[in-house]
Amino acid sequence: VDTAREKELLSRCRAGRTEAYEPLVRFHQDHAFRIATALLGDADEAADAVQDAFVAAYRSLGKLSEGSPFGPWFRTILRNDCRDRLRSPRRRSGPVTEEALRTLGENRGASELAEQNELAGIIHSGLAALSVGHREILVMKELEGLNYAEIAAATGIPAGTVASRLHHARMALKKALLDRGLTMEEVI
Amino acid sequence: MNGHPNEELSAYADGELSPEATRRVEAHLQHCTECAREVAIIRSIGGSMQKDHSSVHPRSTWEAVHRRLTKPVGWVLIAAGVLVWVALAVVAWFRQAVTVEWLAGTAVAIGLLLLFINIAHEQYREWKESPYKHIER
Repeated sequence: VDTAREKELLSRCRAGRTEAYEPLVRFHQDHAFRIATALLGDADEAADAVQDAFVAAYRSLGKLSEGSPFGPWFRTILRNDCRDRLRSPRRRSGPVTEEALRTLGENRGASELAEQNELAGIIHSGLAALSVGHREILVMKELEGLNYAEIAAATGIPAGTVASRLHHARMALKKALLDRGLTMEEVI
Repeated sequence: MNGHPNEELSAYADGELSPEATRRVEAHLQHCTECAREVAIIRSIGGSMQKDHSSVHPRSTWEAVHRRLTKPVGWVLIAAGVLVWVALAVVAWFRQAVTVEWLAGTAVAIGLLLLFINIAHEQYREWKESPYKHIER
């Protein structure tokens, strides 16, 4: 979805044409799901969060300024939704299950899937060991590709603190990966 | 450089250091294998997270989102309103109190009530799903 096409789709969505939202959802859903899974550590809950964020974004399209890109704005809504879920006392917790990963990746070969499931499981479990703040900054950097100034603007913390927290998050994730049986060579 | 540049290594790997600090860290990396390996780990952690293809989104997302966006709340309310109006009209008919004015009056009253419920429901749904509701102004 290029800029001109996105602008056209958003304009039709604002006019109440729900079907114009479909290409935007399909374009952003995989990336969104990866972010939500990394933040929440639960594939089912991540799917719910992505769905909620798409619905909330559609209903709030009036708040997105004309010409502003949909992706970063939508991902802010998604992160806020994930943060709310993490704070919720009713939240079910736990790492991504093998069963959930198997269901989600059913179109892949068995051995490739098993290998990816193992790595994914280790990464998600390593991420789950981080604090929410560290996890969020790591996701913003590694999965959203934001620079330090953009992360600082989105989180309201100084860029210097972003650098420090990001480094600590990476070191904590490295430790978590090593603790879960990966060797230094496998991490690299 | 005295000691290891620890926190600067992340910023270096991300290309976020000033030219001067970049040169300083690069000079350190040339003779410190420990820090060079740390930079390799920092870069590979990002690569591993990006390569996590197990996180494939369920294909039914659009269908679920579309269903929620087009939920026929309005039609449900109209159907409920018509049922209530017919029930009231039947009761009034048995009591021999039905007049054209009475039928029109109750229809308008039920219509206004439904409109109020619909607006209140939309406001509540918007508030409930607003990602900014916890942010203090």
